[in-house]
Amino acid sequence: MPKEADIFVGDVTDTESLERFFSVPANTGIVCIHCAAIVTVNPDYSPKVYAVNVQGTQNIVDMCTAHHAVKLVHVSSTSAIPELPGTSPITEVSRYNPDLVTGYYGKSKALGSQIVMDAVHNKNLNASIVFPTGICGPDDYAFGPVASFLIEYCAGKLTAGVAGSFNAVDVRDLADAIVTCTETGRKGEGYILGNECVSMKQMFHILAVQTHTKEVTTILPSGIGKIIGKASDIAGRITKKPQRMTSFAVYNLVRNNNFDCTKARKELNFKTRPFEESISDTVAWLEREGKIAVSDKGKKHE
Amino acid sequence: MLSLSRVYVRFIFVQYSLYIDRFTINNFTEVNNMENKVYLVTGIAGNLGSSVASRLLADGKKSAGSF
Repeated sequence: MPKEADIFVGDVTDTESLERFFSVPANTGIVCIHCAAIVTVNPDYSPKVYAVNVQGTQNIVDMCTAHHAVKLVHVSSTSAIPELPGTSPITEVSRYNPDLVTGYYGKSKALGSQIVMDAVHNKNLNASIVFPTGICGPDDYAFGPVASFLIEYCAGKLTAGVAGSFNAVDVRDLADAIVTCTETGRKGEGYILGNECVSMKQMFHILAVQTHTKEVTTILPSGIGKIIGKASDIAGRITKKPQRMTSFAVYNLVRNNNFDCTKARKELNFKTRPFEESISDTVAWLEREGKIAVSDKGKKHE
Repeated sequence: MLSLSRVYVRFIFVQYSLYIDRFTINNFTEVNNMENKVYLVTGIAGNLGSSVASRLLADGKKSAGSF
């Protein structure tokens, strides 16, 4: 770790630790990038999710205001933006209403985003918000949905999919856009950071090619997926154990995932690599980590 | 796309003090004669936070040439 970088262990819900986090030498401009959040597919209210995603964002905003931060870039989510019917392109909005979005994660991100916007208007905070879709790419040691999907696929546990689509952007492309946003992001503006939609059928095809496995061709209708999601919700409430295919997870598959990133492409120079490249790199990383085994004939020849 | 990950329950911050030459910063005028910027990144336990941190470090290397 270079001497110019410090790692600070703290908690966004603990204002005392945030005070220490924000204590910087005099004559120094603070640029804050707020990525911390709890991501969950549990559709129900969670005090922990509220504490981190809503109150934690309020705490960060308060610190940025009190310490006269030069810039805040808040990482929200496209889940905070109301869905549009059909495949109508979804663009940025100026207000965030939790009642207009689905799932408690989306509601918490809507509340957090509005806190940031209120501080822009009422406290003159120089803040921008980015709204990533799903996140994919290598080095996901949290093993998020795409990595988990790949692991289960390669383990032969996925014998069918639900008719729907993925919109996932490579974490490296996101990081580039977020850092650019600290410099060119306009005050009080939001930027959707997404990718092309990939259908479940296309996803299985990409995976079959990348891992040299037999392509899964069974795609269940979305109605069946929704029933499975509801059943998972009930199972989660009874067993108190996290479920993966919750109603909110299914909603994210079957919803309109057509997000328009024109604004970010213009103002943040946002560029996305091909989805196949992200999957290829993720497969290679998972193999290095020993999480999956790809047959020799599936490996790339260098 | 969402994940259920308990890793995110841990909140690890990283405080970057990238002492970048003032002329490399486009919006330097907003800093009002401040010589330095400090990048405070929350959530580096997650994939996005750590990728942002890596990107900042790479930028710092290019700009400052000192680490």
